[in-house]
Amino acid sequence: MQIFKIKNGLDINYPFKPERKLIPLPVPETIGIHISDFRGIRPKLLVEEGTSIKGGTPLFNDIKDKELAFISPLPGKIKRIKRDSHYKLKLIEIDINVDLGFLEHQKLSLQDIMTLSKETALKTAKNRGFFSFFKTRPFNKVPDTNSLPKAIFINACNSAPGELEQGFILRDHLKELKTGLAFIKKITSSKIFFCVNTRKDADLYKEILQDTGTYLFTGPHPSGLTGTHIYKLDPLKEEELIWNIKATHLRTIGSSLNQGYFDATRFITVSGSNIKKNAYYQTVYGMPIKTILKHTAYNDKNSNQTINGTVLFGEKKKDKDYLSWNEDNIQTIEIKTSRNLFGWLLPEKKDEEHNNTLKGDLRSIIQTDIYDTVTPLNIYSNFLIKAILDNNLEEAIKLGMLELIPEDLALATYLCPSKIDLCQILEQGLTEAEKEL
Amino acid sequence: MKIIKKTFSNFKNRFENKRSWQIIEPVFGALDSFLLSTNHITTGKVHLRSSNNTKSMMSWMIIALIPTLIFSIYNTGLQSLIINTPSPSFIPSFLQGLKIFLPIYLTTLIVGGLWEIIFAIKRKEEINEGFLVTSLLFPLILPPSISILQVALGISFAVVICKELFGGTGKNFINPALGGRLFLFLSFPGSMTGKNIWHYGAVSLDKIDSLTHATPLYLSKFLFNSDLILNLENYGYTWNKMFLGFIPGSIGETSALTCIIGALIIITKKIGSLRTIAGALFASLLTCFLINYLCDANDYPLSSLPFHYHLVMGGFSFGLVFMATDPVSAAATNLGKWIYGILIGFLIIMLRTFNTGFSDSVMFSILLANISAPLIDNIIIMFNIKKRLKYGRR
Repeated sequence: MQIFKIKNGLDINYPFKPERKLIPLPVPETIGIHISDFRGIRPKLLVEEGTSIKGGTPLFNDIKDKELAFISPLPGKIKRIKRDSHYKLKLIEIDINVDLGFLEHQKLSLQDIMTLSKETALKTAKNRGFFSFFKTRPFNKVPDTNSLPKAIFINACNSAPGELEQGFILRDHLKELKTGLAFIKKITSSKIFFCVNTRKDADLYKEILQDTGTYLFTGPHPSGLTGTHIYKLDPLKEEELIWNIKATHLRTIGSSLNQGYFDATRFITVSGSNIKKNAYYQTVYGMPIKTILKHTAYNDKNSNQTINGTVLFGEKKKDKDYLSWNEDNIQTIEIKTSRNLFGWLLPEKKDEEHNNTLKGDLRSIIQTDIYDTVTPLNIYSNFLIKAILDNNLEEAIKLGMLELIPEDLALATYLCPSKIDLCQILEQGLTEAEKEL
Repeated sequence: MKIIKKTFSNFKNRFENKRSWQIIEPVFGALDSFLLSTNHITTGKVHLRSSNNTKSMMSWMIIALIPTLIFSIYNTGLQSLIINTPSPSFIPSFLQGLKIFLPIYLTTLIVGGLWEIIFAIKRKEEINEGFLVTSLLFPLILPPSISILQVALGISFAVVICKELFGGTGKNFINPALGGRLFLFLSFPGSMTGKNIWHYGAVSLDKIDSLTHATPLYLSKFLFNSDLILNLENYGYTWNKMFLGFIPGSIGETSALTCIIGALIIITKKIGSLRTIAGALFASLLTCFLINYLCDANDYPLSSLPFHYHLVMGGFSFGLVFMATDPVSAAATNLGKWIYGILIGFLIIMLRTFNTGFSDSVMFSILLANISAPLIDNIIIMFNIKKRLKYGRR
């Protein structure tokens, strides 16, 4: 096992850390799938409003690759298909009816998987929706299965504030994880890197990772981000591809293979300023945010912003939205509207810091060196951001833009005294680059 | 407090409704965000932001300047009174210092502030708090006998040409305060150099022996063929006195002690970079040592001056702490900061020793390094790109 000590980083004090207690939630009446969770695909709808489907039935596939299916985690009746003003598919809502049952496949144990051929494994993964859990570098999108990656990074870390501790969940699911691991080894012959944050976790996975490289990343956030792991272990070179997946999602793949049908169970944390039961919850894919919040005894009187992700990096969600496919945390943050006299002059109290005000005004970049103190990559963020703002994509790519995804610059954005949103700028740059490449 | 909040929200509505009022919105906005903390909400995916902002950065910078400011007001008064009174006491000196300093400071604030407001209105932006630091730094690097008109011209040049033409704070390529001083230095050399400009009121007094009231650096250039340190002590300039700052000079530059206090604040608050200061100290030490060793003191009197004297003479400490560390005009990469600092340190000692035309060289050295900073960064970035391409081809 190789150990990497990350020095450039910062652990933000998070007062609402979820308690290590797993609370199961009942199956909801309706679930929903946001199409925007699957970045990089052009969806082609396979179902209609009103059809009854079994659990694991493909809902839509990719126009470029018809075998690449995205499935319904639970059985039910399609309630509504929502499109935006450009007629682009946005959301699929399903009324749950457990009696309809699941789409059955052959049950595959660990030994069965060992005998699978590469083609069958790839086909199984595509047809049964397992590719929805993978993300690529560069661009952080659903992989194109025609080009195989040079390496697969499995992330079993947690370093962001209040993030789900994967070891806490996976200690009871090692068998499924092992199946999943064996399965992705069948899909590609690329190198596999399994990255953990603590020695305890490394010991936990020791048994199942006998022939897989385990790498320990210690130190402050972003030691748990895949971007950091890639940079330290196998930097992304020109025209290369890397896939990454979270260990909890690998468990879903393994469990689905073992059971023979899609395992819709997932584990999330819910925490934040207005949540009473900050804890771990066992729920299903596509769960409505409002239902989750209701079970956490939340106080809906004060104004709070719900985030799918962490306060440091996550998507804003409204009560009518559904859980993101790949994001395991829900956090809430106070929306502060009051203003203090000479507030900028007084040091903020620790517990008052947790609100989503900018705590300053937008200015040009003044403190040019602060970003690199929290970015453990060989990247000059200041110059990269300026190149993107200048629309100079060639320069931005030379400066390493493709090695990054917006989350890698979240800490820099947090610290920036000029309140510049580096993540948003990087996202713009990446979108532009994706169009051109 | 409630009254303030209410008035401001009333005013805000008025700005939104009345078109004719919108022209002064930047002024109102600056005042508004100065008095009350903002409640703008994050829009992107990063929801939590640190309480670190430009306003608090600038206020720490001002806090770091306060010891220097208080001492320099006292010392300016002292140096002014010392011509006629042998040992003036603290309070009269301080009051005399205020009498000298306040007109200069107020002129800077009013003229520079007006320019800032004009540009803010034109750009429809809020007035930037960076000006508060520039307006405090600028008077501190001027000689006390400067005229108000010159101050007004200098700050106008600093704000308009050195800063706003390039887009405002954060986009300027040289330190605006130093740019303004350079303008005055080249336009009015008589008022910016010489031996008797450092005492307010001394210009008209022909009777005094002006050499005894020149700055130690100016003096040193004329002390050929002699033991420099002994000679300086004969004129009353001991190391301790120069370290504490009881010597004539630009208003704020004299005390190395208060600059060290300021440096500690700036570095612990991570506003200025330790790398720049360390680089400059290292390079100047090395250069000074080499010059001491290699040069003949008969040609260049300052070549025999030891390093610790360089530190406390002229604007070395003030320039290094408050001017060179300005994060906007310095190099932005970590390695670049070292090189930038080394360049400053090297230039200060070289120019001081071998340039007999001007008495001090700190301003030129820092401005030259400011101009070189983008080049230094570019070279480092080039190496970074090359390194990336290399692992791309491996």
